Amino acid sequence: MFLEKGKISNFQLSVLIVGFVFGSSVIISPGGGAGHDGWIAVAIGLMEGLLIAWIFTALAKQFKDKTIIEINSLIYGKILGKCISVLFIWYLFHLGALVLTNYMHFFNLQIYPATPKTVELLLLMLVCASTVGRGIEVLARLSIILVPLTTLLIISDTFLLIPHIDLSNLMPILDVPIGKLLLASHGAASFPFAETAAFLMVLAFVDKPEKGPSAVFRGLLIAGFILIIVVARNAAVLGQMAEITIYPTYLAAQVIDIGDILTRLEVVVGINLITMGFIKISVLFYGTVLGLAQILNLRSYRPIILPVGILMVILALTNVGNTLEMFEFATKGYPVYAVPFQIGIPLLTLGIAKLRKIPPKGEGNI
Amino acid sequence: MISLLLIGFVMVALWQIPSLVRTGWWKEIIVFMVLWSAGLILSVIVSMGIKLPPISTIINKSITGMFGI
Amino acid sequence: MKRGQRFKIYMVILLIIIPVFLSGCWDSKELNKLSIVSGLGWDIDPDTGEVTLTYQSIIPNEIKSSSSGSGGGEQKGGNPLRTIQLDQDTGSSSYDVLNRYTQHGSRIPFYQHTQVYVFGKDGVQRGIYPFLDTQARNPVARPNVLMVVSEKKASDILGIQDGMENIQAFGMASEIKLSATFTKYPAVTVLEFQKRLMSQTTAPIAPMVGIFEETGPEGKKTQKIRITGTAVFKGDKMIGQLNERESSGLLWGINKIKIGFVMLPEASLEIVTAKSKIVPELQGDQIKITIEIDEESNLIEYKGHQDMTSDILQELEKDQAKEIESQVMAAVEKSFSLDADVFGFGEAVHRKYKKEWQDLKPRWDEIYPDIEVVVKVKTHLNEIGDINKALIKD
Repeated sequence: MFLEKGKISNFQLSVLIVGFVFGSSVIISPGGGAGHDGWIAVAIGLMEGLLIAWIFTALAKQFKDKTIIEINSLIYGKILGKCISVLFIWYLFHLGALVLTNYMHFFNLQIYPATPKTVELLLLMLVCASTVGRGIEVLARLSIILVPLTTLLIISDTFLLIPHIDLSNLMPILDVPIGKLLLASHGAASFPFAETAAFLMVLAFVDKPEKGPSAVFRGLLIAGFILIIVVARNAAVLGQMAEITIYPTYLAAQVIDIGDILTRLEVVVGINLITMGFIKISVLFYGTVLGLAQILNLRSYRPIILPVGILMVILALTNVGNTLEMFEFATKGYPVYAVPFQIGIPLLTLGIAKLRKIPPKGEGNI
Repeated sequence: MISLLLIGFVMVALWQIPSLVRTGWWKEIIVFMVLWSAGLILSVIVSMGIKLPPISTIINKSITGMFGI
Repeated sequence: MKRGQRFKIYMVILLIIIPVFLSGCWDSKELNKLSIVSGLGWDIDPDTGEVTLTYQSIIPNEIKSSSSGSGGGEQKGGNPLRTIQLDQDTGSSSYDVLNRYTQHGSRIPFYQHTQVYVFGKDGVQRGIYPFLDTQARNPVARPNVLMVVSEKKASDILGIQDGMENIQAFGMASEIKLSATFTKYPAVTVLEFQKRLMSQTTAPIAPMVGIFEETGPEGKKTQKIRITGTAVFKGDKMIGQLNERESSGLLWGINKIKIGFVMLPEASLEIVTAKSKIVPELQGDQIKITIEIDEESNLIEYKGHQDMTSDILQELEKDQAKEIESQVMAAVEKSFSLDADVFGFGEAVHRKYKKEWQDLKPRWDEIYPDIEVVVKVKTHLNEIGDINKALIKD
């Protein structure tokens, strides 16, 4: 593995996963379309996400030190494998740009309306590029600081909102027609839980591969559980406004007003987006660059970091025409579009690997 | 605007190229130049105001069209 | 140069450049270029539909001098300090008007500290939907701002220097919140208004204020602001109002009782805690709502000349319950006559009877006045105060 010499511990992996899942979900609540039963949709989506995680972690465990790119080449042969890998890399790249788009629209709407979007994105991209350039270990270590801090902030936000929580807003339970609920659940699964399929590029560097899957599950469960609480809390505080607001977490935070001193805490939500968005984008960025380097057999991924970063920013800027399109894509097209990447490729690859019995039992790497 | 862009891109190139040339990693230089030029051309197009196709929207429309969601 | 040194130089350059961006990037706003709007008033001309917007903005310097010197907001000569400035604009729609601040000001309005939105009664009867849309859509607008309807024109209300507070809108906001705490009139934030509006069956409400003239000690007339009722909306239009008694009854019904008093002819009681619950029941086609109220109180004034006995206490508890019940029923009756579900009975039915609600909801306006409402009050008198015998005996 000359492209990446670092190793991350299982604990770091879990933390990374939590940060990744929080990613843009601290701003755009998953489970949209299910009304005040959104939290149930998130819970069901979490289960679906765990299932999907089971698939790709099994794949990663089968091929201990290999990233999905290398696995593809092994299973499908060099040419077909590289083609499939290109598709996967495209997904990572596109997803990174999508997160940047989310980030950009939120900040431009709520916090920095006058700042040119390019500047915001480039600044963030520079930080991500610098981090990715130093390898996955650095990213993992950074997340150990950022993720618990964010989690603390989210939990305290929730506590501060307790006086405003009206649980009757969550009733009646299961008011939404089942069809809509399942659709919303799948939406919650594709965004954000199953996106952890991106970790197929990272799992190769875990120092104890056998414990890898449980680390992933742990991360997913923790993040999922917190997200369920957040979505339920937003619905309880905002009532039906939670359904029409694009950024319910932000609106809920605006309600906090304790003794006229603890007010205007919605900025904290913005900070959460910066830190968690940074982690998610860095992971995706890392996957893209590393994958590209592996496909092209480069000696290192460092030279292509900056150009890829710039291209990602360009894609983020031109991705969608306006916020509405971004939202529509996230709720309608994306849950379908993501399936071949999140489920299709890992499942297919795993299936063929098991059938063809690759790698042969008892042997190490090729 | 365009001059800023050009300066930016040249700086990026100057950052990477010298170290690559020194170590003789030709393949990497080629890949870098390809990506770099793509970035340059696209940025120039965007800053000139020509609208690039909104990829996510296109994907969205084809999917909703196909499945009629 | 060695690599380490080059790196350090880059770091230094970065550290110098970055703080430049930290002060809000392109969006930095200097305080002296801002006009901090403490209250916003909307008057809609009933004939032309034109919107007149009144801004109450804070004059920063005046605040400083008044707080250091006199503390009552009055200078030596007895003239109230000008701590606020009023500006007005008229236009054809709400945002059209909001845009015209440049016609009267040298500063950009800053809405993050706005405490109240005041709506003139005429305008409110016409409907305030465009305003509500702007409020919800605009990222600058905060959900905690209080909604207020004024008897006359909003511009009049915002102009009155009144009371102990330096900044009138802040004072008005405190006054409204205080009255809500004392279970007299509701304090309604924009968010609460929006939630009620979105419910499609629950009627939005807002407190109403009016101007009263008082004759001061030297015979000087001052104008003061008083809360006078609760405005009841259907959708975005005001259709009626609740008086003081009915407003209290409403607060009792929706579990918003905090501190307060129950006044009986023979005694006054102070509310310690109180809880209420709305329990719906569907009997065939007939909807029956039971409002269950649990209350604990202390005796603070007894007008009779008798000593305290447990019989008297029980009497008081019963009378208390009756009084609360009649307040609530007054509110219920008024809401029936207005056909406005201010209590949220609809949502209560929805929560309990999911399936039936689908049929009931579209007909709610018809069904509502036929609802059978029963108020069950349980009261408990805790303390009788420091004395248990009368001061004067008959």
